Amino acid sequence: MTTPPSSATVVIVGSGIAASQIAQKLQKAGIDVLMLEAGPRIERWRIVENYRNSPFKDDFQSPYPPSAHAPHPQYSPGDNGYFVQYGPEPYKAGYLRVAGGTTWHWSAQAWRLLPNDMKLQSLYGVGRDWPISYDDLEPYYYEAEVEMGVGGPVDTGSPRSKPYPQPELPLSTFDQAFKAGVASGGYHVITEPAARNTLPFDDRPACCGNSNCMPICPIEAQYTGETALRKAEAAGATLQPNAVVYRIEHDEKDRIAAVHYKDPDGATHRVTGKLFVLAANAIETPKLMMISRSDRFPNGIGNTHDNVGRNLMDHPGTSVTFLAKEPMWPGRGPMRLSCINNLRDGAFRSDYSAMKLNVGNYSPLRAVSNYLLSKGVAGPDLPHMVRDYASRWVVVNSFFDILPDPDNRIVPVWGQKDAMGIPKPGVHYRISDYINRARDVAHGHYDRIAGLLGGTNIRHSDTYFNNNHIMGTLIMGNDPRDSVVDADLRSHDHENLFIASSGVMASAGTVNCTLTLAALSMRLADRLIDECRHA
Amino acid sequence: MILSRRSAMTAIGVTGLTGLIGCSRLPAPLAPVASADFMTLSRRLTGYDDLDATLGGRIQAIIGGQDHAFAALLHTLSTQGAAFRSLTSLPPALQPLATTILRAWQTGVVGEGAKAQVVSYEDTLMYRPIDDVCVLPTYARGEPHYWAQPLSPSPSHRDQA
Repeated sequence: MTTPPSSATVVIVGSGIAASQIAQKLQKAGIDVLMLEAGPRIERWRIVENYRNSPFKDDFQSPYPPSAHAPHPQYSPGDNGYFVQYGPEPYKAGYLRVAGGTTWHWSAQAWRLLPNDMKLQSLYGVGRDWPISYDDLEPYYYEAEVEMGVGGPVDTGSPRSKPYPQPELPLSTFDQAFKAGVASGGYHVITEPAARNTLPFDDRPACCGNSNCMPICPIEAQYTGETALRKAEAAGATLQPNAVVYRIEHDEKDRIAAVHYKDPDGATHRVTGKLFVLAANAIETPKLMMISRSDRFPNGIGNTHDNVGRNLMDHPGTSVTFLAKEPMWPGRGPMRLSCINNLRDGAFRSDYSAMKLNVGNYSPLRAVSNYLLSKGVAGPDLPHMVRDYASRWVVVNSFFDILPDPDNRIVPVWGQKDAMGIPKPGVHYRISDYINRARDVAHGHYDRIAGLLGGTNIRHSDTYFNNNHIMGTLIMGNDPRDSVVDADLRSHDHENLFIASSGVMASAGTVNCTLTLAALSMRLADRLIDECRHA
Repeated sequence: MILSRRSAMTAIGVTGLTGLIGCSRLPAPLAPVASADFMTLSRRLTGYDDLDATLGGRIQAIIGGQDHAFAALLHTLSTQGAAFRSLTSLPPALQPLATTILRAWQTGVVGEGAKAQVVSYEDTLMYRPIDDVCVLPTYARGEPHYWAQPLSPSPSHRDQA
């Protein structure tokens, strides 16, 4: 039996897209890296099988059964009680504690923020400014796009120093019809940038339209944390799976000396290193920091000013479903290809949230069937109506730009522990009128869009859903009194502790956060290489 | 252009496609084939005449022990004849059973919540009406970017819409 590794120059907690991209880059620079992953390794084919055999195909967590030693939330058939909801609004995050992390079930939308997204306070008097600018991040956005094989259009609104490294995916006939149909209403539909192979790239195939980006691309045409992890290991990084880190230990100079993990048998292990990176998800990471208490840090590691876990964000969304007048045939090709891109910025942001409206190229069959069955349709009419409704079924949903609010927060639930005796995470979450006003604006857009497409049977869902874009809980800023990490993603309290997480983002913007996380990680890797060389 | 099933097999390679289908098959059913009554009932509810009796047996085995109710439902449907179009036209006492059977064939799931069980995937009826247009999720229809090409729905399906 091999002895598990007990030290490395750089120890990373987590093995998702951020952890693995950093690990690959450091290892290629000659710096040895150990990644500690709480969950097990999983296999793509098994997840595909789980999906096909799941009665809950709309729940992206469903094909990923939680492990006993490193549970994650499950919501079907019922809530497994791991992620404790304190309300008043639900925050039903779907994240995975497995090797490779949550991007196993992302949709590969690879967006840059708008420059204005990073200075909401100075431009619009709401939210916060980032301690870095878009220009600081731009080269790293490009580096991440090259690594991930991102293709996109020219007109996203985010300035670029170089063209996208890959061509954009062609729009489906559905997305083309949507784009043409709403243009006269002033809606500017563009192809979404995506880390989904347009052409074969990096030993992965081109997307061939399996219509199942979420919860699992069966052919790895999408770049995921698993892709990043495989490349990190190929570069020489070490992964220790099933290593549930439960304590961060500091020394007398407040530097991090070690992290402690439990294996599935409950045995404890201590791992030392020179530099430590926390990259274990924007809910689990703040929980880990807050349960790592000492006499000197009674609120937990990095939490002197009680900012860890606060400012929780997501992209709350609403949706509309209607029947277009003419057949449009959604469901051919990738599940998400285009969006309305001209509601994402403007002076209105002082008053209500910006929004991205997403066009859903999802297979409509399950939704159509369930709808018709709920109406009692049966017998010979059913196949005919399935075909007719499926050809005209349109779904549009939204991402709203929630503002950071210290009262929206992740907490450790000391009174409820998992099978390893580790406190579960809990959440306090309220959605403000800044979002409620945007919801009402979006409702109007939905009606207008339905009108432009001759829509009937218009059904609004104005109840917010989560989009699993967990941000803010490890927020970055220049002032230690209101932030967790500085502009270099270094803990204000601990010189050798860094955080790679969407939790560091100081605003949510209106776009999927993974590419920004990847860019921040590429930038952090440069900082870590610099630290190692000058230590 | 949309590839037919046969040309898709040529394009992908027969081995690859059958490999995909093979690994999605559920374990061989332990249940016997469905009773004649259950299959007649299922045909009336779904609007399809060519239902698979093995799958029917799997569904019947899970629903189970309701032969009397099957007979009552069958009798009611036969009295409606060709006019049957809606579950709501059935006596309220029989609607839950009819819904369960139809949902099982249509969506491949029997039961709800913690009792939900998957009985089929690729044989699920909801995919059939537009199988000339939409790929079964996780399966591949054809070459990359096929989705950008204009549609040519099959003549037989076009009659349905």
